[in-house]
Amino acid sequence: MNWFTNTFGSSVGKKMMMAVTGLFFCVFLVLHLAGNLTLYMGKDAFNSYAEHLHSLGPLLTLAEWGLLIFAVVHISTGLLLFYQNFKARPERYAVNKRAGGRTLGSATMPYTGVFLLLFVIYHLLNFHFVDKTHTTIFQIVSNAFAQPSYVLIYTFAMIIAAVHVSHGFWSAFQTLGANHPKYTPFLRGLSLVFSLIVGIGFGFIPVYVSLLV
Amino acid sequence: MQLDAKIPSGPLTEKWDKHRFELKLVNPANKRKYNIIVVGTGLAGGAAAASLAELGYYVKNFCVQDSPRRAHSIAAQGGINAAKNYQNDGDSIWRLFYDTIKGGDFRAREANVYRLAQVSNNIIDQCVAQGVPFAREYGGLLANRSFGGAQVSRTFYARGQTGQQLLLGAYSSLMRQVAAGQVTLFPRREMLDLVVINGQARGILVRNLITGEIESHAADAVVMCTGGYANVFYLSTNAMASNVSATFRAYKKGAFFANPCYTQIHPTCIPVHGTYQSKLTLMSESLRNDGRVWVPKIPGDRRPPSQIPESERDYYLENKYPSFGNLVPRDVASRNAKTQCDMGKGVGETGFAVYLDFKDAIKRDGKEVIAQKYGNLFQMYEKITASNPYEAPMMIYPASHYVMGGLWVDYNLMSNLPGLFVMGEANFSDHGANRTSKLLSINGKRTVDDFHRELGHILWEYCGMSRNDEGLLKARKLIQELRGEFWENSVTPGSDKDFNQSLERAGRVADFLEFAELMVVDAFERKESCGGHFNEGYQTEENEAKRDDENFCHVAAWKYKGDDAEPKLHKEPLAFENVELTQRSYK
Amino acid sequence: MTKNINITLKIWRQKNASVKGGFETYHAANISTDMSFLEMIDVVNEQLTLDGKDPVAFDHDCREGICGMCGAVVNGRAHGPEKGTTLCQLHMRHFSDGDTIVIEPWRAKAFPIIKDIAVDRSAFDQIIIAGGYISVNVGGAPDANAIPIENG
Repeated sequence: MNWFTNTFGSSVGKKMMMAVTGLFFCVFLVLHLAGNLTLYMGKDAFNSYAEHLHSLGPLLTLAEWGLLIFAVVHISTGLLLFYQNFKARPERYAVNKRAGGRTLGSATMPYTGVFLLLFVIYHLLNFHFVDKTHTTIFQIVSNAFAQPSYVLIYTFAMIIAAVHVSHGFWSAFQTLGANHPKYTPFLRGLSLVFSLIVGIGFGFIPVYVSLLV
Repeated sequence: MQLDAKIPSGPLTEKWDKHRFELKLVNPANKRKYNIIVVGTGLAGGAAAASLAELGYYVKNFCVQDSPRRAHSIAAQGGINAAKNYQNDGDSIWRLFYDTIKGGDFRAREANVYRLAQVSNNIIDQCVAQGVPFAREYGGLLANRSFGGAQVSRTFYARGQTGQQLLLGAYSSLMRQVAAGQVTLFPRREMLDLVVINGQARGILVRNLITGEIESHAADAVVMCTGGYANVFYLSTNAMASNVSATFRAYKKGAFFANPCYTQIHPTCIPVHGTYQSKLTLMSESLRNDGRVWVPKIPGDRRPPSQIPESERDYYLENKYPSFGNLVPRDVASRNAKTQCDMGKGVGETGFAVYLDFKDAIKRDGKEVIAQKYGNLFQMYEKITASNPYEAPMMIYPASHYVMGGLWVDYNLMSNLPGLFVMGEANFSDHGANRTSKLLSINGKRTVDDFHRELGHILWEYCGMSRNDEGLLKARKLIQELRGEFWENSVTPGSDKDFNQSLERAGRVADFLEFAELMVVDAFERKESCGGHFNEGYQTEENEAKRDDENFCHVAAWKYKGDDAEPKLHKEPLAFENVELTQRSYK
Repeated sequence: MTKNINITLKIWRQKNASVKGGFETYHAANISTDMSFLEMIDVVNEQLTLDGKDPVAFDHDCREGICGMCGAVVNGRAHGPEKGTTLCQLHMRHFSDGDTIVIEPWRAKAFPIIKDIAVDRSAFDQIIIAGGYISVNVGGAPDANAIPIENG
């Protein structure tokens, strides 16, 4: 156990946990988006996708628990790292310049992260922990997005998510050791493309649904 | 006292082996009973500390910087020589030995130089084992280049940063021993004094530069690797913290100081451009392979170089030394640059510079070839001067770079003070402290740097590239006066109980002011010219250094006799049994 | 090309690690643009010394860009505005007349301030001690060419 706590208790070990869980969430985002895209094929397609998903039974429960555990690890380690990082420089610099490869994404990681946590809770309350006995999931979604405030909140959250993964995706590779002058620029490019897919892919759904209604 | 160099008998090539066999060994179990103090963490100190620790001794290692990896060995550019003969171009231990003896103008000990040539090969093996990334050929074997006019390729290098890579190698070996508990590091400590008991070196006094505390450390032997004193000139290519204090304090405790007047002036440095200047930067000598040195023919010609036609340029090295041209040795190139500037033909804002022109080389080989050879140097030059050497000629001037004088040592590298003794109780007294409070108590009108600057001017003028008897006498008087004023009219702020960089500098300058006089005395005493010492009264018809092997083929070792007494000269005769003493000529 | 400029400096002054520090403002007049950044601080320090004030403490050694001893955060950037340039190789020609320059120490808990802008970086040596070396005794090293190494 000693080597385990030694490794993952260090700041490098914590960053590795962030990277692994973060990459896992990237995979989740792809699957989630693929499912959601069935919305564009209409009401029936979307409902049957949801039905198929729920017919998985224990597998789905397992995945949900997995997601929950990963989320706890990702969030708690992230907050811990943020706190330690803050503590490591008790006296702040008087002048701050964007230097050393800082980007919008990297500079705002902890803040976008916390926002996304709040959003996920809100999202689950809206669409997951609701009574679905007398209605379909499509109905719930269209009811929600009939209200402009929902559309605004969801679209904004997706922009934040895009900013978060624009840094998270490639820096996860860097943390795990995949840093090379030849490949890092490619990974950074891929990261940008991925963030655009996430932002646009998810972000248009609320708009599209609101137009349907 | 008779100076015994303890050179082993027998043929030159067998001396070292024979000596190693005759030396007493220390049982591995007993090694751990011995403590050794090593002062300095450069290539000498760092390697010594790591090697002694690897052998099993306990080592206390001191340095003045914050980490062992800062020592000025880090700034060496060109490379390190060894007689590996990997290029099969006729090199051998004997050839490296001969070239080194000749390069030293026959004023070094044969046996020591031969051993240096012998162990040079092992040094390369050790460096590679430490992970020093020397340049490699395509096939993976070590690459070599020729350097400093050598006719064989025996220089091992890591781009233009060989010193840095060597030092990092020594440093990592040292840190390995720190991790193993064999070495204890004491960074940010300045050596104040050597502790000598019954004629034996038994410890040192150091000042903790952060707390100001004076600490004393005892050991069975003290190894001093504290670098050179070129900063006595104020402006030199040495690091700011390089100083003479440690060796000078040892001298005051009875160790002999040998050949203090031997200084090396490097011809290709970036010229001085203002009184505020703190440091000079060396440009690799390799530049003279392709650059042409010139000054305007008319003294006082202030036109920019591009407007001076070819017919009005004086390529003085090429004219004076047709066979060697721009590639004459360092001392010759330096002296000639000074002569031209003294005639009023110097260029640049100060008039203390000559041109090093790459125009013809670029025309001949193309810009790309020149960039490949010297790109990083051109970049460095442009960074410092904001002038582009591809378009305008470089300006260079000689600068103090290295010194060949230092504490006298025998074949075992031990000074006249026996450094080894049986472990015992040590009784220390603090000498250094009195002086620091005295320095702080002077409340004058001139800063310490100001005194140092003036001392540098005096030495550069009268005890620099070329010296004469009259000037040396004058310099001695000026130094004495300046020293007198220093103790009356200098100002050192702060206290001695905390981090006080002004106090550090003041202590070093105080030592430089005393040491400079010894240097001048030694230069005055050596009535000949040789390598690092050129007395105008002793030159050939061609204005080259003229040695006097009859009377001066010796090491001049000085013994301290008290602050107001003349130091006493001891001579160690140099015997040349294996090489013939010849006169250098570069015409 | 060479000219003299006047600048205002805001330098972090702190007596030691245990007391609070703060910025002090100094005016540096007639600074030659050929000066290095550290030489500019030298000039300020000479004046402070003559005025009977405490000069600014800063680490420096080789002054030719290789030893790694110098460093400060200049206007929010480590080593100043030039890329790949140590503080001693930063020249004043990169600043303009009338500029205000903020000079701070490197701020990190693991590297406490010794005084002003000099910081204690012995933590770096601890990293090397933890294993940043090649674990061989070099006394018995084989011939340097025994193992060919790729020409990287």
